Amino acid sequence: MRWALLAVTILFQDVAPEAGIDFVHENAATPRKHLIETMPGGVAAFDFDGDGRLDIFFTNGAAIPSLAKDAPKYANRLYRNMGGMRYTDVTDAAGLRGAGYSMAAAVADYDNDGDPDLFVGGVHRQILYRNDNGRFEDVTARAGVGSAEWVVGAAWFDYDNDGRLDLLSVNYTTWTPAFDRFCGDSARGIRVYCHPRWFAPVPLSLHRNRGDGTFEDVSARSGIGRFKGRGMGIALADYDQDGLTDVYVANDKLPSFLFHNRSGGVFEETGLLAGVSLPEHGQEISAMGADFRDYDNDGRPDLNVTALAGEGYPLFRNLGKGLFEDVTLRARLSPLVASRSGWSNAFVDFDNDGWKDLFTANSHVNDAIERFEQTAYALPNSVFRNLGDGTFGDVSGPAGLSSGPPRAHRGAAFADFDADGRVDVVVTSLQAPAELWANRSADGGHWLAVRLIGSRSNRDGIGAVVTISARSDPRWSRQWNHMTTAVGYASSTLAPVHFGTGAARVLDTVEVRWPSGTVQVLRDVEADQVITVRETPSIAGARARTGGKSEAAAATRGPSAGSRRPCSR
Amino acid sequence: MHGIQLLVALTFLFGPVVPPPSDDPAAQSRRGKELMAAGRYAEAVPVYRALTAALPGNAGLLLNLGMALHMAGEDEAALAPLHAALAVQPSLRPASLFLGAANLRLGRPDAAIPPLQKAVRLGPTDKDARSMLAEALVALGRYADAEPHLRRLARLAPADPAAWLNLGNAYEELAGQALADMRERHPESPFTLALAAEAFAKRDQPTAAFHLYRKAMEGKPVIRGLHAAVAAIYRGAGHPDWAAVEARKALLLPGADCARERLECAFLARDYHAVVAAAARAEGPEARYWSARAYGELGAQAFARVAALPASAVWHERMAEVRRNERRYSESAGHWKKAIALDPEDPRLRMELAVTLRQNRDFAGAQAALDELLAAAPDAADVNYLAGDVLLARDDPTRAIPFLEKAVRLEPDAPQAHGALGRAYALVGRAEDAILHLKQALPADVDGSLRYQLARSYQSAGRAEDARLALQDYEGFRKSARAGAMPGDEAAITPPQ
Repeated sequence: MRWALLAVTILFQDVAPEAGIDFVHENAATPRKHLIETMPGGVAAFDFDGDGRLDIFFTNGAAIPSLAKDAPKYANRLYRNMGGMRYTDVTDAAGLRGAGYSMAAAVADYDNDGDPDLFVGGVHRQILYRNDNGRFEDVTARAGVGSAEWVVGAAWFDYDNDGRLDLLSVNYTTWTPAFDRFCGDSARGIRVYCHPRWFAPVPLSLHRNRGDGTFEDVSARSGIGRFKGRGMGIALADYDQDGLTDVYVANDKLPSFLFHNRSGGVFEETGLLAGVSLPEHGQEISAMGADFRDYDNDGRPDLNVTALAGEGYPLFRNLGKGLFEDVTLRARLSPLVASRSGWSNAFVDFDNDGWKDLFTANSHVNDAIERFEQTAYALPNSVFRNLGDGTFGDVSGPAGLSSGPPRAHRGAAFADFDADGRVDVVVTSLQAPAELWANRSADGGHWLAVRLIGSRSNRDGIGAVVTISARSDPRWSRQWNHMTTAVGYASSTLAPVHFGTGAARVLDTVEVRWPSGTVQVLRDVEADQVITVRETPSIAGARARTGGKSEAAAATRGPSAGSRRPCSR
Repeated sequence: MHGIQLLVALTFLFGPVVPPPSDDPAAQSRRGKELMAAGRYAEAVPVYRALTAALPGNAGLLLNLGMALHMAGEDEAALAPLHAALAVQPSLRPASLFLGAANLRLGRPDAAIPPLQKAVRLGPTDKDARSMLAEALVALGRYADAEPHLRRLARLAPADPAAWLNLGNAYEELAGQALADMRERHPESPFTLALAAEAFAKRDQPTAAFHLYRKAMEGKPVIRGLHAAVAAIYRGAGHPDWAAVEARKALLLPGADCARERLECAFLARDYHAVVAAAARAEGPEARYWSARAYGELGAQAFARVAALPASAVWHERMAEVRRNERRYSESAGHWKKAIALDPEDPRLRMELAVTLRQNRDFAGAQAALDELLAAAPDAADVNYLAGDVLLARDDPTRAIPFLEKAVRLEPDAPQAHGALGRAYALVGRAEDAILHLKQALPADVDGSLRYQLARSYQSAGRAEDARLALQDYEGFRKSARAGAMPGDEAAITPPQ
């Protein structure tokens, strides 16, 4: 039975070259093995020009030790989606060449003007770009979000539910090019990137959006600034379903953080108590990426974390009441990932069967690891198919992910770039071409993408929980997902919320629970389309019911019924 | 023990002839000789008991009885007749030898030494006696006393790799003892710092070595060799320019004044034994410094002799350990395999291979090695433990459990085995069983992980308050562990001053 369940349903094909994506990440690797060299690679997917197609932005490195983009090869790059999986470089026209050693990208419409904006975090230099009709302006200084930190990740979310998106930056450590400790095997002349223990933990940064284009640093006031870690991946979800978005930060060789959002704009760190700080064996791991999503369709968002070979990719199942359980072994994930090392990860329903699968962008952190142990540095990516019974199966090979050479993969963004209802993946690799994995999975599962436009809530609807239900597919009856742009290590995707609906051609209900408290329910929604749900300006907490097909069709569909719009997860 | 068996054979060919008061003892004596010569030692024991009862005070018969008991594995019983033989005939060398051998095998090196010293005095070319004496001295950490014997053995058997290896190990220990002594008595002496730096450099910790060398040079800039050592560190760290500066500084130092600096001059002349001998008569950290360095060089010379000999199991064993300590696990495993090929009967080597393969994350290889070990020794606690540990590492707790349960049964006081078993139980959902064993594993908790596992097991068992307390214990443990270990405390390797 298990073999039948593992029959090939997920299929990818790398179309980057023919799509015109010629980006190669330049990390400026040196014999000195500066730690920043092995950490970059953020990528973002978003529709920067509002033409309905998802574009791709790549962060890039810079020269070391100057940390200056002193050559064209170091420029950040923006590729515009021309349709039909074809892209063209519009970096200069958009004004996104960037500066400094860039690492992370975070996309969201922070000023609620309808144009998605972009935050680029990096080594000692952060840039906030405000998007005005497809042209980006550096507003960092004015906004007050600049810093000299080393930012490896960032996330937009409305932590205080005031309708404005706030910015959380994940800082890794303090580092300068002058750090020159020799790590490795001097007898054999092998220098390696230093172990994290040589780098001091630092706190995160939280900036509250004032709504006037400026931000205030509330790191200390919110409680988040009290905790020091070596932050890597960041994932957001309302894990306790209290209407407030919580934050998970994967820490490198330190217990990871789960910041529970309490009302009043204050967070409490509860990772250890909740059981998500460490895997079941209790040893600190090199946690890299994190995704916070309901993989078992029980209504509660779960957590997956990537790490290095031998450390596993822990899967924490949300038990409710603030508790999680490490079910990596029970989910049959443990043996599948034992020899793998991963960075970006995401729960996405690639075959649209109603169950979110798991994708990981793989590579070790130490490019000389093979000289020390039986572990590979460059690896192919992985996809684990969710079998719907709490377990996963490795379909990476049959899915075509091993078709290319193994690489040092890092960032990944997940979106339907060709608007065919199947979520694709763009992945960066150090010193290698980016990959654009077109999802060619066999048609079989229906899908639905929900584009949110907030009014009282932030315009992107970040933090909204979307629930769908159907009776026509025996394998699932309800699914949950939520709107977030924080997905993938150092990466970001701004696109509609995607569901695979399997055999269900019509969804009985589509419920949107907005951060404002508003709840909207659509009924009898046809699958295989992108629907746009605008937050109705009702009394907070009131349920805006739209019963009946006709009401649903009139009020909430996109421009044309059955139209295929780019969608995300 | 081949030499001893030969001795036994010779003893009974040319040994004392028992004058027969009647045919009976003579026949018994012949019978005893035949049994001993045939290796049927246990059968010879009652024969010699009867003979010694019939002819008390006969040193030869007492010796024979003692030998038979020793060769039959009854070392405790062998002691009395051997002591009695020596009481009658103190110069009976075989009695001294076997008395020493019996005590050694009983784990009493201190009792073995006097008779073995006597046996060596009486038979200076007897390698077995000297080898056992050296073994007894090493067992007691008396490396200085063992060294002359080991040196003699190496001269007696220059083609024996074990002889040179043992000598090299002794020199390494002596160098280590010298450093430990200096740390205790002269902790701030530049000579102590320089020696500690050298030890760090050998362990591939160049940054630590660098700072100690720097500190040593600040205290005593004229210790020759330090600039060269720092230059080597600079080169290894990718700074040839800095290395050149340091090398120039070394050239500017005045040469050693051999009238005053005799130890250093002897060292530079590579007369390391002279250095050791002279240092033993001197006081102060400088003498200890040169003594330690001389021992280090002597050790290197001994190991070089082993390397020059045809490949041997003992040599590959040493190289395997060296590489493992350097975390070069693949290479280490290669050496273990070569050692096994040369000495396939030694199960210890297979166990070491399994451990190394485990460290190299070659779990399939480790499991294969362990399967062989389990077939030969199914009731060995350490083998069962490692087999279970490897299966756990392969995410197969169900199969790991029987091995770990057996390990715990065989060695109930092994906290590591309890820890692994506890984790395996937790993974298969047997929380209460996990708790039982994890609690017993806590003495082996080096990083708090066992405390964490215990907390999670309490949680799974629905014991929320116990879970909370265990988690508090974990956090307290981690806080203490981190207290003295601030990252970045040790600065990077800095340019020449």
